Amino acid sequence: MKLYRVLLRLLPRPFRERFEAEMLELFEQRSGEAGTTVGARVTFWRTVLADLVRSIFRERFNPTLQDLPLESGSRGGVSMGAFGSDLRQAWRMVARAPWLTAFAAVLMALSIGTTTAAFSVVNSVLLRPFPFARPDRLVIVWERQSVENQRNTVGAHEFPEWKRRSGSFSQLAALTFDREYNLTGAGDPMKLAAVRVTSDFFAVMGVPAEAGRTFDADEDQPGRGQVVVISDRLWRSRFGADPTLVGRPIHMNGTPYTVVGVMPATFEFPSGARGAPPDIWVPIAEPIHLYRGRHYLWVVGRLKDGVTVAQAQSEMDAIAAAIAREMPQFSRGHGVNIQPLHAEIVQSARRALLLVFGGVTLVLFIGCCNVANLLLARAASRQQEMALRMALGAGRLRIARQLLMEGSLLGVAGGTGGLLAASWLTSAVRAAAPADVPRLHTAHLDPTGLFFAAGLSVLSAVVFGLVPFAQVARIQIAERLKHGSKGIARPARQPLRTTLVLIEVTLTMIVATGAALMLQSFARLLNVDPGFQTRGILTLDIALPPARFASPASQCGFIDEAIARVAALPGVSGVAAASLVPQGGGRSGIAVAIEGRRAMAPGESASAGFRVVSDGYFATLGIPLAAGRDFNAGDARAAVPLIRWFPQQPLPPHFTDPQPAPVAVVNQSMARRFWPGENPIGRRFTVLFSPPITVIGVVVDHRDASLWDEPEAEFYLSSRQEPQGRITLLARSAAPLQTLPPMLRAAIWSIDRELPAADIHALSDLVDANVSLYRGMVVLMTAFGAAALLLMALGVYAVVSYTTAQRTYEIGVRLALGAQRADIGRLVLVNGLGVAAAGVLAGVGGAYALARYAAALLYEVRPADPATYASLAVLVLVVAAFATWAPARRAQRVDPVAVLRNE
Amino acid sequence: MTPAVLHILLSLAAEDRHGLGIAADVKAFTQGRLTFGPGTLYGTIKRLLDAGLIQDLGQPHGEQDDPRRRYYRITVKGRRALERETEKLTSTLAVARRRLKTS
Repeated sequence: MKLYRVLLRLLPRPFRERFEAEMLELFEQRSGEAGTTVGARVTFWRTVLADLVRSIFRERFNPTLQDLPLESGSRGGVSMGAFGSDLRQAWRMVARAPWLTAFAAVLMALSIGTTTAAFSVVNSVLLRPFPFARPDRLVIVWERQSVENQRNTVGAHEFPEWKRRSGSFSQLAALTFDREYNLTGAGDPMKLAAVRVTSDFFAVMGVPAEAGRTFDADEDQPGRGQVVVISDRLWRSRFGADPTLVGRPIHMNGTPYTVVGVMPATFEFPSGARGAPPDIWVPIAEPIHLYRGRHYLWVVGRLKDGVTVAQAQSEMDAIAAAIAREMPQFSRGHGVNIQPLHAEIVQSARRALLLVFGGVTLVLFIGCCNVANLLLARAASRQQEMALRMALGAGRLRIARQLLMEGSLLGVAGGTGGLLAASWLTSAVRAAAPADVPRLHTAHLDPTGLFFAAGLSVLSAVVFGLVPFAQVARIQIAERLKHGSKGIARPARQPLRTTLVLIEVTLTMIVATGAALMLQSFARLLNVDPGFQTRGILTLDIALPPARFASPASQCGFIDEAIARVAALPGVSGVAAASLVPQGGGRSGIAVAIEGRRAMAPGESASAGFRVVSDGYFATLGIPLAAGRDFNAGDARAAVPLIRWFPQQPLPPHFTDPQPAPVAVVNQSMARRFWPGENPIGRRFTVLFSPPITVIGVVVDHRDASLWDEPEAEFYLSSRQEPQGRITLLARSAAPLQTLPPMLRAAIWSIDRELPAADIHALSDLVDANVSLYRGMVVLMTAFGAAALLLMALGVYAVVSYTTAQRTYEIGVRLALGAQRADIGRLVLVNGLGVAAAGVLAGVGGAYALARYAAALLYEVRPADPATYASLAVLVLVVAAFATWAPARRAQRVDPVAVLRNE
Repeated sequence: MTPAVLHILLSLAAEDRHGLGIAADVKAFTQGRLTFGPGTLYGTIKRLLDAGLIQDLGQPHGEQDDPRRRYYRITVKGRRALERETEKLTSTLAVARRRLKTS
C-alpha cells in the first residue's frame, strides 16, 4: 500500500491530484480480493505494476494521444509501431535465454536494491535538509576554551553579551539540559528527556507548534516559566493524542505546568544523552546573567540574510576579545567557535555512512561488470544472427535500437526488483538503527530514492544495451557469414571482457581489504579490557525532583537509603551510586588547579574528567585501588556541596564548622599527569571555586569514556561531599538479571512512589551500545566483501570458461601434437590467474586510498597494515584459482580426436 | 474503440456511477473476465472526459457516499459513439457467425 502510494508519485501531478484517492481505494479493494498466498501476491503485484507502468508511460509521455478512434481501427502511429516491434523482438530474444536473463535480472535487482537502500540512508541522515526553516542559516555557537577544547558549553556571562552586542544574527537562543523532569500524576512516573530553552529558541529554528503555540517572549523571565511545549511522541504515547490537552496543566516533579503547545513529529531538536530526542521544552526562566562564570549553555543562532559564517565568526572574535578584557576573571583566553548546525549534527555519522555507501557502490559496479560480461558472452554467440540481419538490410542503428530495447527490459526488471529489495532493506535498517546515529530511524524510500533507482536502471539499460553493440558494430558481415556456425575465426582475444574481469578483481580487492581492516579493528576493540566489570550489573537512572529533594542533605539521605534498601534485596552482592555510568555516554571535564603549581596560562587551563560516586563504587565495579583508601562513612561533611561553579555563589552553610576534610580519589592517569614521579596521596587541588581537596586514594586506570579511548585524567568525589540530584544506581547480582528489575523498582518506590524507575539497563548493554554503530558497519562491510568475492569468482569463472571453450580447437591441436594434459591445465590456470594478479596489484593501491580515508574508524590497525594486504591478495588469488579450476579441468579432458574429426 | 472504453461506456449507459462503481459493474457483467487496474480505469476515464464522451457530475449527493468519489454520466456524444460501435460489432458478429458455421 505504502509502496503503491509512493509509486503513484511517478504520475503527473494533475492526474494524481484528481484520481489518487480513488486509485488507492480501488487498489485496496483489489488487494483484498487477491488472496494472501505468495503466488497470489506475486500475481497481484505483477498485474498492478504492469497496469501502473502502462498508465505512467501514457500519462507522462502521451497524455493527448487519442486512442479513441471512433470510426475504424488504425492503431497507433508509425513510430509507435516500430517501438512495439522492437519491444516484441527484444522480448523474444530475452525469452530465448530465460536462465541467463533471470540471472542477470536478479543480479541487477540486488545491486540496484542495495545501492538504493544505502543511498536512501545516506540521503535521510546526511543530505536531506532538517525540518527547520531555511536550515542553511542556522549555526551553533561554542565557546572556544583552548586548543584542545574547541567546543565548550557557553558561559552565562557570555551569552547575554553575545546577544546584546552581535549584529550577525537575526536571533540567538540558548538551551541547556541541566535539569531533570519527572512526569507524575497518571500512571507510572516517567523520566522525561527535557531541554530548557530561551523563548526565542523556536523562532531561531523557525518551526511553529503543530497545536497551540510556542513560548511568548516574556515566558523565559524569572518567576514565569510554568509552561511547557511537548513533543508529538509524548503527546501520542502518554496523552493518547488528546486534542484538548493544550491549555491544561500536566504535573512534572509534582508541580503543575501548563501545556501551551505540541511540536510536530518531525521536530526532534536538540537530542540529549544517547541521542534521545526531547520529550519536552521548558523555558529557562532564570536570571542567566547572574550566573556569571558558569558554563552550562548551548547556543544556536540564525544568521541574518547575506551574513556568512566567516563574517559572523570575525565579528564574534572581536566581541569575545572585548568580553575577555572586561571580565578577565571569567573569560580570559576564551574565544568563539561558530559551526553550521547541519554539519555539526551529522558529523559523527558522516564518515561511517559514506564508507558504507562507497562499499555498496563498489559491489554494484562488480555486479554490473558481471551482467555486462554475461551479455557480452551472449552477444558473441549472436554475432552470426546479427550478421545475418545486417546482410538482410537491417541498419546498424536499427540493431542498436533493438539491443537497447533488450537492455531496457533488463533495466526495468532489475529496477522493479531493486525497488522492492530497497524498500525492504530500508525498513530493515530502520528497525535495527542504533539510537546514537542522528536521523537514522527516519530513513525511508522517498521520491529522491526512487529517482536514484530509476536513474540507475536507465543507466544500466543504456550501458548493457550498448556494450554488446560495441562488438556488433565491428562485425564484418562477409567474414562472419563465410565462416559459418562454428565460428572458428573468432576474434582471438576478448579485450573488453578481460578488462571487465580485471576491474572486478580490482574492486573486490578494495572492498575485501576494507572489510578485513574493519573486522580486525573490531576484533581488537572487543578484546580491549575495559578495566571494570560489566557482567551481572544493572543500572537504574534516578532523577530526584528538586521540589522535594532541594537540600544536599536530603539528596545524601536518599542515596544512603536507596543503597541500603537495594543491598538488602536477595542475590544482590554489591550496590553503589554514581553521577555517570562508565561508558554510559557523557563526560564531564572540569577545570582543576594543582596546589603548589604555578597557575596555567589562560587558554590552556588544566582539566580533568570527574564523577561523583558513593562508597563501594570501585568494589562493585571491580576496579582495584592502586594506593590509599576508598571513600567511607567518615567522609560525610555538613557543608556540601564542595564545588562552587561561579565565584559569587555563596559558601554552603556550616562551612567553617570542624568536619572531615574534602577528599578525592584519582586514577593513575591523573596521578601521572599532575604529580609525575611523586606520591599523590595527601596532595591537594581545587576544582573551579572549591576548597582544597585532598587525594586519599589512587585507582587503576580503566576505560571510562568508551572502549577505544585511552583512559584520561579523572578524579572521583564522594557522594557524601558532593551529592547529586541525578544519579545512577549500580547493583551487582549473581541471580539472573531479569528477576532483579521489579525488585529494584519496588525498593525505590518504597522510598518514594513518585520517582520514575523505568530506566533500567544492564551495564553490559550500555557498553555494548557504544559499539553498535561500529558493529553494524563492520557487519555490512564484511557482507559487502563476501558478496564482492562471490561475484568476482562468478565473473572469473564465466570468462575463463568462455575463452577456454573458444580455444577448444587449439587445445585439441596442441594435445594431438603431444602436449601434456598438465601443461594444458597450467595454460588455462595461468590465463585466469594472470588477470587476477593484475587486478590484485591495481586493487592494493585503491584499498590503501580507502583505508586512509577510513583511518579514523580503525582501531589499532594501521591503514597500511602489510599483513592484511598480503593475506587479502592471497585470498583473492585463491578464489580466482578456484574459479579457474573447473574450466581448466574441462580443458584437460578435451578429446583431440573428437575435436579434429569435427573440423 | 478499446475494450476499456467500450466497457466503461456500456457501464455508464445503464446509470451514473463513480469509478469504483464502474469497476464493480464491469467485473459483474463480464463475469469477471475483465477487471481494470487503477491506472487503466482512471486513465481511460480521463481520456473519455477529454474527448467529451462522458461528463463529470462532481461530488456525490447521497449521504452514505464517500466524499472522495465523483460521479460520471455518459454524454449524448458518448451514447452515439457507443451505438455506432455496437452496430459495427453486430455486423462483425454476423460475419463471424456465418463464416464459423460454414467452415
